[in-house]
Amino acid sequence: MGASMELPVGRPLPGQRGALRAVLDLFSSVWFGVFWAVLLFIYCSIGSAVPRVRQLPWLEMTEFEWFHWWPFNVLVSLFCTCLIVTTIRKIPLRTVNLGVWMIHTGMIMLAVGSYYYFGTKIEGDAPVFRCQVRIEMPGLSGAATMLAVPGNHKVMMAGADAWHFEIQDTNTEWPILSDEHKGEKAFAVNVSVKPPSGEPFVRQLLVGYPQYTEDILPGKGRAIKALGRKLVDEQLRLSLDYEPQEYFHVMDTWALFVRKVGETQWTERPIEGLPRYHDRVGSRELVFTDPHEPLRLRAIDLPVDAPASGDALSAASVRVTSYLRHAEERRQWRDGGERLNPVLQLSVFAEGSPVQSYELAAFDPGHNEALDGNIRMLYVPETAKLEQLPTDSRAMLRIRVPESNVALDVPLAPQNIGGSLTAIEGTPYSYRVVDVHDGLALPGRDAPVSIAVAEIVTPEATFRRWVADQPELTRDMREGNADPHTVDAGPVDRRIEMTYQPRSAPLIFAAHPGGLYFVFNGPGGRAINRDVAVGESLEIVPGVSVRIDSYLAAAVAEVKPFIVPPAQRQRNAEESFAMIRLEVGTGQGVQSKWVHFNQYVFPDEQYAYGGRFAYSPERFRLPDGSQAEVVFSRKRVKLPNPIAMEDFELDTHIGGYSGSTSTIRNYVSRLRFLDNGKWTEPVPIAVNQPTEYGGYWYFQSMWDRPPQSDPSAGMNYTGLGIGNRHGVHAQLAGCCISVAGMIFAFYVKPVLKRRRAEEQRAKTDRAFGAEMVAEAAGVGHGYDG
Amino acid sequence: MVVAAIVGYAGYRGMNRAPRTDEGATAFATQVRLEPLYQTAVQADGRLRSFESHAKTYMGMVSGSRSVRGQSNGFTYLDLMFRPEEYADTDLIYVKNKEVRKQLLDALKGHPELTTQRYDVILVSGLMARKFVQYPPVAGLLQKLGQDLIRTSKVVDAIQSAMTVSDPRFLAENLRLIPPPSGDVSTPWFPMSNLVGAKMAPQDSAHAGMTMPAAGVPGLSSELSKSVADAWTGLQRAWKTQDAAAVNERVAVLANLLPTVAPSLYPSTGRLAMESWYFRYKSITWVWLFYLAAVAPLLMSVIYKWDRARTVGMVLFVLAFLAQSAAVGIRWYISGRWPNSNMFEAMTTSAWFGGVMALILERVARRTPFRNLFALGSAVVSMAALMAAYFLPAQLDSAINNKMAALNDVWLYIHTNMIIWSYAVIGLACVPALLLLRHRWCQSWDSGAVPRLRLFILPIALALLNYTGYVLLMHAIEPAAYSLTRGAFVGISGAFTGSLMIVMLEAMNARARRLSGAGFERGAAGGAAALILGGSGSPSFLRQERPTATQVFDGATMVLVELAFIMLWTGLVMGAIWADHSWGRPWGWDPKEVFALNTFIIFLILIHVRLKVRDKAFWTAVLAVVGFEVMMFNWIVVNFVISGLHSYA
Repeated sequence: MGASMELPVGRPLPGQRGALRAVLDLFSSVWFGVFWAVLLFIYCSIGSAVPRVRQLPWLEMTEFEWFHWWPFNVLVSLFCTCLIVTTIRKIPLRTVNLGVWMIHTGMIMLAVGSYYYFGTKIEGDAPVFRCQVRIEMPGLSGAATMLAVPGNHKVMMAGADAWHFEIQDTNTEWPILSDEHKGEKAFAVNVSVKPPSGEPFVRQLLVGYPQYTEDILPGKGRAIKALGRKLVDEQLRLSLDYEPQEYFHVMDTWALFVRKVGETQWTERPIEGLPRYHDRVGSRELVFTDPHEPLRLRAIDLPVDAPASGDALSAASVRVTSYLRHAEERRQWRDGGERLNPVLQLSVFAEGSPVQSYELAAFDPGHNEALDGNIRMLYVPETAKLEQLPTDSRAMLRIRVPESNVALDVPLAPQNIGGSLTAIEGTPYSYRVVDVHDGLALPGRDAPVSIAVAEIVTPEATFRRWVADQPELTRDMREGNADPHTVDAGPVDRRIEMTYQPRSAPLIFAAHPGGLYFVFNGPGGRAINRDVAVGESLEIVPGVSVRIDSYLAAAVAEVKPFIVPPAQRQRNAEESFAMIRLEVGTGQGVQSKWVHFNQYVFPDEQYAYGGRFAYSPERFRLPDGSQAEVVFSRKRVKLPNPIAMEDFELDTHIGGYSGSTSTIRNYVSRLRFLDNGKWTEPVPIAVNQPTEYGGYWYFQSMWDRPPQSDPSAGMNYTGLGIGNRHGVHAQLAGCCISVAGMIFAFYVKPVLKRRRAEEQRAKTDRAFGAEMVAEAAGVGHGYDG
Repeated sequence: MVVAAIVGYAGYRGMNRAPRTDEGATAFATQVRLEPLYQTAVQADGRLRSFESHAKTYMGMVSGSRSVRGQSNGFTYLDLMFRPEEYADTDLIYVKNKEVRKQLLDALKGHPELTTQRYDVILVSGLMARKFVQYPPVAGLLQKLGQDLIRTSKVVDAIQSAMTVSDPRFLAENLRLIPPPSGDVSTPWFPMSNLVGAKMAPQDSAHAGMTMPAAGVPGLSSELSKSVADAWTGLQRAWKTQDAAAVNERVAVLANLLPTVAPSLYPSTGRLAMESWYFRYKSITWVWLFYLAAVAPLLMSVIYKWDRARTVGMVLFVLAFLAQSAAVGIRWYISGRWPNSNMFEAMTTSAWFGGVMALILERVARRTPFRNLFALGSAVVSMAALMAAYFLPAQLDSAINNKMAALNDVWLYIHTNMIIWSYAVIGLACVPALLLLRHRWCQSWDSGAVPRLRLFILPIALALLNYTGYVLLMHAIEPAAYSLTRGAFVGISGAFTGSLMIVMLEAMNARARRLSGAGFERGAAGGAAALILGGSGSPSFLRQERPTATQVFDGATMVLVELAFIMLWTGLVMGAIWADHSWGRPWGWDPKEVFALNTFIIFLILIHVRLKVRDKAFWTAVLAVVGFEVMMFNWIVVNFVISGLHSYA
């Protein structure tokens, strides 16, 4: 801004108007500057308020990319050019104009600083886990490690010598009971250890207190009390160590990581040009879609080249042929398989409630029941055996005493378990049911076993019988023999026969070679049993009916990604559910697979931490018979100084952490950096309190939220934002100068002018008289003169 | 006299809102005196709040700002907890979204108890009985609506949480009245069920009548433990038998006993009483009435230069400002932090900042024709802000919560306050700008330079332009949530284009007729420079005997625009400094940031356009209004629709 109207500098003389002059004149026009400012306003508004524009299929830009696209840079450059030209040509550098000069200079500095800042910006994030457990044992050279997160499992040695280790739990607030440190709290890791022989035990490790490592025997308490020594097995040495993080992943990037199966290090292949917001699929066959969501077919074919140093897939051609923004893997059935696999789809209609649809697969133990076990699907190989399906859905104990011709079917309701002895009428025996265990998984048996434990009193003896639903498993337990699994369980007293029929579903669908058979055992006994057909509606009770939607005898499961409709996508999911289809061509043909996006690439599945992080590598066969695995993730950068987490603390408001973030005042990670092979002293990093080390800044950004039920669990990792910040000081200086300039232009300049006018008036007063004042100060109409 | 009338009216309204005088409450409800509990602390969400404030928060989650049966929140809380069976048929659960409300009512049509009358009541009040929400077709519909994450899932989440909160077990478990006797700050307080075995709710058939054993309160003397437990069981019994006298007695006993459990932890009764009082009186947002009272005489003084109106207006304005200062101060005192970390606080505190700025400027410009314009601007802005808070409690939730960890920084105070202050000043600047535009319009009307019909249409076209522009913009931003039918889209686009053409045509005509040029005076000087130079011997219009209205309005607009320009820019820079050390980048192109920058760009354009155009006053006023609109867009649309990183304020 300046005195453009009054000053003759910008006004070209006739005959001097060259092309350069014309351009300079154009750029020193205030209107031209305003024009660019208006364009800037529009550009910013579109980028920010209407994200659909920058997300268009041919742009596919993040906010950051939109505001660093060349048109934006051109806009800002033209605006700045205008600013520079106008300032130099039209605003004389005088004290009164100092403000304008400062504002304009500040803005230019800010623009240049920002250009440098964003041009060199690297920004990303990394999780840092708290610790790992080192396992040292005789017969093992060196130490093995496992990540200290609950549920993590490791087996050492093989076969009969196998040791099983599992992280049972972690506790952030374990109170130390021993003398000098009594009352202090430490982070505890409990490792359950199952040695090849002997009792399993739990070894407790405390961060910072290796001297308090001790074993706990299940049911017996601390080893020091039970055995007189702290450790059950002194040879086995477990200790805690840092779990260093050496990389961080760069935001808004894509990369493929490749290694040979069995290797530990990944090789990175950057993926450039992959879309971000829109799906790219070349064929409908590849995906499942929502019937209401149209899918536009658009294929891509993006080569992903190996780095110069090569990797496990160097010899193959690797291409991305599809991209999905938000998809989940789904299984659907189609008929026509070679193997028998009965699958039934049905809908349940109940008056006044929405229709429920179910899918039942007879051979899939996880999917052969529905409605809390009230509907059951099974396969009966011989049609004749259909008659033997249960006729009562209640649990039953069938008692037969052949010598007295007694046959009893006793329903087992919860209230008559554990009751008093009942005599079996017409015999000298009596019994009572002590307990019932349904659906036990026994080693070596495919089908689950259900058992009723009965106490039987005969004139000779009292014993317990484990009555199984499979007669060959029924055992009698005499005194002194308590374990039913051992071979030397007593012989069965043949005088009393018992079979146990566990509670069965009231609705049973039995697939058989001739079709589909349906049984309904209502409260009053068997109501329906007959063959049924697809499309048939079966009224179970008045107001409730079941419709058979489809029945496939030899169903084949198709597993494909399902494109989640936009309305059902989690808003902040970003690219977490993205997938690509990878085509790997080797000399022996082409393999294509869908690969899920993983936020981070981890060395192995331990780091998935029970599903908190995605870890889903896909494998491809290589011509030499070996396999390569790939992970689809983001580019990563090696940290100059690996980081380890010393501790993580929550600073809470009154009443402590309740599960709601409003009770948290701050999150504090204490980190160590590896510098020249040595760990530094711990540095606290909290929200609003980052730290700089080795050229990168570290910010607190994520945490491992404990489950609501147990606030002392969780906090096994911390999430850090990591980035550089070159050029912030230029930006800041530019801003400060411009602020000072504004204050000068608005508030100091008028004072200067007023002073000058007063001086002028004093002078002219003395010389001419008051009537000349107006003219002398005439320039100063406002700040813009 | 006017003051007395307003105070009287506000007091009357306040009394009306007080719990016991409403119709619909039972005799028991009117006889129960819960005042002692208003000074009793409850620990929840990391805060110690008074029981009344606690009840307001939880009942607000259940019924929105609606009162259930005309009872106080505290009474409803206890009644729901002690006698849940009485509420089986009461419309309780608030369904905020009208569209969802209609859909739920449609699903409810098969329910035998839904009469036409009840249907209408629910449709208007938005409150539904728990059993209606649990009615299978409604539950099924809610499940379906919950899957639409763009349009309806938030409403469904709110209904589900209302169902959770209105469960008596939840209410009992979260009424943490007993401080830890150890005095430890990070130990959660204990609910009464730790002392008194809680009976399972009767609706749960499997556990009906089972009594959970009391876990006890570690460190609490058995004597105190017994007396608290006795008082509580007594209260429970008396409540069930509707014995108001016994209830009042136990309440008083409890209120005396509880602070003695851990005196070091217990907040002062004064603070708790203040918090209860503050929320019972609608967070003192009715001060908008005071501002309303000030606006009328201030307008008269500005337009008619009437001295008596001037005095009355200023006195009323100062009184309103003092009342609002008290509201801000009370909130500061009871929350223990400066109120600027949620939407309600940002809005009301910003308005208060506007008042501060107006008072400063009124002082500086007390001998100039600008006087009263700043006060008028502030009165209008504060009135609008407080009215929004008063009439839209569901959108602007006044509950006091801890601020997010990310906000715990000294820069919160520096950056946020600077920004909201600049927003207030932008609002202030809009008032004289609008007055100027109205003045222009009146001059044209009087002079007859433009056919009157066209002049009459102009403001209508402008209003239509704004409204249709807004609708189209929302549709562009989020087509799914702001869907338009084909017909509506065509209609709105047509209205938009039509009104845009009228406005453009008028602008061109005005240019041709030199209406905005030579025909009318040109306000050239303005802003601080006018004030500063006005003091000197220079011929500023401020020295003139009778400056024109255009000069005065334009000058005042510029004073405010300059301030807003500097403050907004400084606020942005401060935000960048904070973001640099909080998020790791000074600028993240977050929508909130971008639109603050956009507002700044508008003012930047304003200042440069002012250099070049002949009719400075007119274009300054137009751009000041545009700047205000962009600012409001940032505050409302960006916050509620395009929420980004700044979603908390």
